[in-house]
Amino acid sequence: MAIFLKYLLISFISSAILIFISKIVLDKLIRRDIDYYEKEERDIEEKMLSNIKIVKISDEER
Amino acid sequence: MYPEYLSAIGLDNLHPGMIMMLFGMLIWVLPEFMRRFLSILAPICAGIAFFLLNEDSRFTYHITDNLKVELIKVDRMTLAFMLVFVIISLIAAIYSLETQDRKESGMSAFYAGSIMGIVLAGDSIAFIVFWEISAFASTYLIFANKKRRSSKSAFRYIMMHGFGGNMLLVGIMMHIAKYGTEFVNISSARDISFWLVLIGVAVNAAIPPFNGWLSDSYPESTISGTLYMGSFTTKAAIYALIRFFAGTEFLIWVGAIMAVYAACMAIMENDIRRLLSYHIVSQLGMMVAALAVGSDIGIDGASAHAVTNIMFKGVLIMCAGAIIYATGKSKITELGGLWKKMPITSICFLVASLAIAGLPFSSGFASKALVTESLTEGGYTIPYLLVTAAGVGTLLSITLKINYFVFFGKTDRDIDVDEIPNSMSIAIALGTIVTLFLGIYPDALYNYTTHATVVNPFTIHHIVEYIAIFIGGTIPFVLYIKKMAPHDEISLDFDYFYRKPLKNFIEGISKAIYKVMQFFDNHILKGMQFMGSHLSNPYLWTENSRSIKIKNMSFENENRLIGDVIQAGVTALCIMMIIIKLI
Repeated sequence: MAIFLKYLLISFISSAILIFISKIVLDKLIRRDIDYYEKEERDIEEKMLSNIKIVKISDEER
Repeated sequence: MYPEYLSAIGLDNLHPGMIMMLFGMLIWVLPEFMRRFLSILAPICAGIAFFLLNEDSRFTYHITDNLKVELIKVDRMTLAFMLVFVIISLIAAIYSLETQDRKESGMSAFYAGSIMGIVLAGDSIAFIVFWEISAFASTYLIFANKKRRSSKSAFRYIMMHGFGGNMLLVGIMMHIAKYGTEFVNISSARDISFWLVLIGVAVNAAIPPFNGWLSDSYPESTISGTLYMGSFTTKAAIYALIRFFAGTEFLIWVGAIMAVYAACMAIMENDIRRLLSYHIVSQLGMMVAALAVGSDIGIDGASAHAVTNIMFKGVLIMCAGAIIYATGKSKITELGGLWKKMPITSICFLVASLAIAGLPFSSGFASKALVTESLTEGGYTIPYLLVTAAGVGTLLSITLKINYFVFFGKTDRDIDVDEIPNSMSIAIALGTIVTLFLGIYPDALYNYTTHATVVNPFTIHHIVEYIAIFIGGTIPFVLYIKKMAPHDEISLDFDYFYRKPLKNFIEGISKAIYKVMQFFDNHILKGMQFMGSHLSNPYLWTENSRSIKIKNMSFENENRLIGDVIQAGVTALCIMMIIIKLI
């Protein structure tokens, strides 16, 4: 019974601390919008594409 | 255990890894209709070659008279890792029958073979060659998903592994210079080669701060790719850590903290595969802590836990892949109540998740017993508590969170579920059976460990301990169940530093170098144009001069003073020769 209560207490406290650290502390510090990296990459690609001059060449000019 | 004539004709020296790699190349080049047959035949042939291996097996390649490479050297640890690699290769091949194309299938077999080559390597040269091959082969599995995010992730993956591989290469070269090509435990050394090899292996073992690539790339890979990578790369790194760093004491703390850190990250995650990726890191932390103890039980615990991890983590990843295949979704926020529509997947996931949490009579229970026993025997109380807490984190994030929110909890969502191929269901079931088998008969696992440590995990003390951990860990989950629901966000990890600040820094340097080169481009061009025009027309040197004398030096001017012209010319020539001489 003593072993059971000892590990029950350890696991209860561990579980509570882990939930507190991850869901309350880290959630505020390191969670970001799903597009946090993607948005900047898409913006850079959009800017690069906007600088491209696309010139239509007619079949005769080819 | 095998006929001696097999040794006489060299059949006990067949390299299972190279057989897999050969089949990989065949699958790549032969027509599509042969793919399924060859992808199943590859691990079967590798398995046969494996069972023919023994501790006298050798495969030596002589590069020169003085330099040779040992491609096969077998001991008990090699056999343990090889056995599970062969089993998971077969299960993964069955799982991937309907989801892979010819190129991905070929590269998967090639990759599995290269990892087997790492484990079979008898010296540092063979080790590093197969290590580098595996990095490139595994990159393709991410790229094979054929999405924009995957190709970017694959690039980051190969950059990270290129960095790690280079550190390892330099460290290995310095190691060879000092110790020769044999594997030597360098846990007591603290020279530069120690740190370089450690960094190189730490990248593959996802030891923070080198863990960002794992949670970045595994979710972006194909369904089968995640299975292959989750089963091979990190476990080969554990093998390398055992060979080089068993008994490195500070790694106990590194492993324990890593296990808790990754468990915290997993609790927050929404994407199933990303959550499982963090779990791989957490489980690796337990293995690192155990091997760092350096005792027989610690090394056996690390290798046993690696073996069981490959199996139950493989089942979890296969189930996640089945969910993605059937629903097209991978986020917990978009799923729910799947046990009615995917009963086999649900039950197998439940069994594997209980195994990973260490439920008595599961494989995780058998291997974790060695890990925790090694820490308590060594007197490392705080690392033991941290590893126990990480186990509770595993319970929270996988056993409770995913099972509740994805499979068995109440939900209003009605999700369309397609049927998964039979090959996937068969593979998932096979993996689950192996997981259960190792839990019910742990001696089958212990007999393959390096020191064959005998531990009886089925003591009352141990069983009561894990039941108490289950109950104690579940109570806060139930009390805070609303808080445990994930949100559709991402967590910043150590990969932030090379995805934003380092990227901006390198872009800044590139722009600065470009501006400098542009300056030289413009001015050199003008300079060359000046020299060209003025050398071809000497009149241009004098025509704009204010001095009448110089202006009249033109050869076209009939009033020129010829002596002055010659004098000026000779003077200019002398000045040029002096300058050239000085240069």
